[in-house]
Amino acid sequence: LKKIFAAIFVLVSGIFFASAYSDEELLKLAQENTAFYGKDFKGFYSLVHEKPGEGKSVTDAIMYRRDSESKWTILITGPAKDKGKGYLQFDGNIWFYDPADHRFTFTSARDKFQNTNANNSDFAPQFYHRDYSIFSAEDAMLGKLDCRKFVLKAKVENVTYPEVHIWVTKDDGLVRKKEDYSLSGQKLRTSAVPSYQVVQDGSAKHFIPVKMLITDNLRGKKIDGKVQYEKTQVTISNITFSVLENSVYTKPYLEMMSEK
Amino acid sequence: MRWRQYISLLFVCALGSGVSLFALFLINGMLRSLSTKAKIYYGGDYQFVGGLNDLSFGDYRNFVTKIESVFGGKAVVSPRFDFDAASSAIYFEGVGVRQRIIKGVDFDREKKLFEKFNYVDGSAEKMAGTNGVLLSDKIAQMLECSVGDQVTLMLRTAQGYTNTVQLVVKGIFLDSSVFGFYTSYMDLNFLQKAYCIPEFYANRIGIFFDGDSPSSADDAKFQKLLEAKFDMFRMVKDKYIFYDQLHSGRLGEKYALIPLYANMKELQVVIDAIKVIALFVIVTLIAIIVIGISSTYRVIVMKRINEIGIFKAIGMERRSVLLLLLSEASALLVAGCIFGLLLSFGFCRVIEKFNFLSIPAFNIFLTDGILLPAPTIFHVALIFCVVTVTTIFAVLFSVQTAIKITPVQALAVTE
Repeated sequence: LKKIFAAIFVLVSGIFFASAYSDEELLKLAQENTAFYGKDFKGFYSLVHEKPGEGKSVTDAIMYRRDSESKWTILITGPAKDKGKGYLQFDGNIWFYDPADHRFTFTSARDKFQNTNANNSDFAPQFYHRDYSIFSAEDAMLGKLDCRKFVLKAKVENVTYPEVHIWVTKDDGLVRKKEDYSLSGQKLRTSAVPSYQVVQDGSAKHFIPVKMLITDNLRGKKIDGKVQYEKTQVTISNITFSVLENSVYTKPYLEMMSEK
Repeated sequence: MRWRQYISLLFVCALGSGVSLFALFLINGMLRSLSTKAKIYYGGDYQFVGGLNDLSFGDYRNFVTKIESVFGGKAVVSPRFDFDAASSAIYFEGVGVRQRIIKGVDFDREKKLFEKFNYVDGSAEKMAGTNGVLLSDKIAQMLECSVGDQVTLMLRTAQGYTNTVQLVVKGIFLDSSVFGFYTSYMDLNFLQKAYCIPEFYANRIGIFFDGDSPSSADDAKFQKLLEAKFDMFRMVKDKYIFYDQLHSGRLGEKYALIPLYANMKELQVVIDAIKVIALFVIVTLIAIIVIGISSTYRVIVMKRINEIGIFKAIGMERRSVLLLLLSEASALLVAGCIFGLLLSFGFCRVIEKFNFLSIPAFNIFLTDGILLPAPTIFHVALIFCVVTVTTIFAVLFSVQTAIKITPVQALAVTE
């Protein structure tokens, strides 16, 4: 009798969760979970870049985001040789500042962040629902996580990847894994988000990855006859949500901070 | 002992003319190598470019037909697509190398042009209609790939998407930093598909003469003929004069015929510098020959003054004596120039033994890594004429005083 009840419970809860969000709703939720509107986000990022055969390098940075205005600033705090460098996005452009020559150079959302496997676009909201349409969706287990796997194809031009596969947990709409593909269908990058940290901002709850592991599927090195790919682990900590000065998202701010 | 002076004159003449000829052959070879590289890079002796505010031919077929009718059967007219590959990279076994430009080429049409490439391995023979790629030696070394290996090209499509295509390395070429290092060549259709643009799209049409390069008179002739078929911009010495005006939107739909030299404006300073140095060397050497021979000849004539007196005493006219002396000088000069020619060939053989690839930025002048002198009959004739004529005049000037002497005065002189 217990088994029958258990089976009925699983079935009912399955139906409940399955019907909790439609695919479109779940995708929209996944998109919304990557954006923080209304307040400014500040967090410390640590990126450990592992190049096969060459060891690891660590880049530390402070990130400021104001998603409501599509602005962000990244100030690199380490290693010492890169300290003071920074990135700034405003008016749809991304600028890179190098204090060595006191110059801002134009960069792109697709460009690699400090030559790691993270793209500059990874630090901004991910528009899965706005820029992509669902090509297919299916249930998939990711370890113990009950997910919906979406195959998304770009519906607008100028997105970095024309096809992405994302695994979204059904109950909270959090992206747990992402694969980026080229137009010809070649896998270029795999990102995994094993866990999220919940940050309470007043009545709102924000989900921010604790760690992200990005594996490049193109860049690497052949060692002992086998190609080993580059990896980057991104750790996010000390997150706060508060209103920041407008000047944070300006070129003079980067110049000023780089001199400190 | 007089023969020693003649031998030394012969030696001076041979060495001077030999080095002058060698310098000319060398410069000619260097410029020919540069020109060949430039022709491969730019698609021939001329580039036909233009469009509506941009360099583009939506459907190149009609343009190619019209251009072919202007240039006739002598020239190969071939569409090209130069892809700005600044955000593209080629990957092989995890290693990625950024590209500067990828050229989409119709390898069937440009077969003869690509036969002139300096291949380290492979060739362009089976490139047409395939996913083959020609890489520079430098890129192949960086990727650690060789002919037959499959590499991945990652590029951004016209729509802004990231795309990847698999390419097979079919040829590795030795080329210069100016044209070659970060330039790769692919089949035109394959590149169009990878970049997601229409099948008959091109942004350049190359015109290549497999033989003598067109002259400046040809430039004017072809320009005029093209003006009858297209709305042409004036012929420019620097292609950017046309590019700037076209991109500004002031011209509307306009086309231009760009000669090879107008494509190489940046290199013109280097070319001019080489020519000036060569000219300086040649002028110096010829001056040495002229001054050396004429002054030595004056001494010789002075030593032969008794002989001249005897010639005059037996009834020879001043002109005949002069003719005799000039004939001797001419024979000496001709022999000297012939020896000089042989000497220059010797220098050419020697210089071909050395590899100059290690000299930075010098490889634009090299063929297969060496300096390949290019002798021409014109240059030989030029040096022969200049050396002979100038020296004869100098000798003539030198012996003027000697032949004016009377037989009595001449016979009174003791040697």
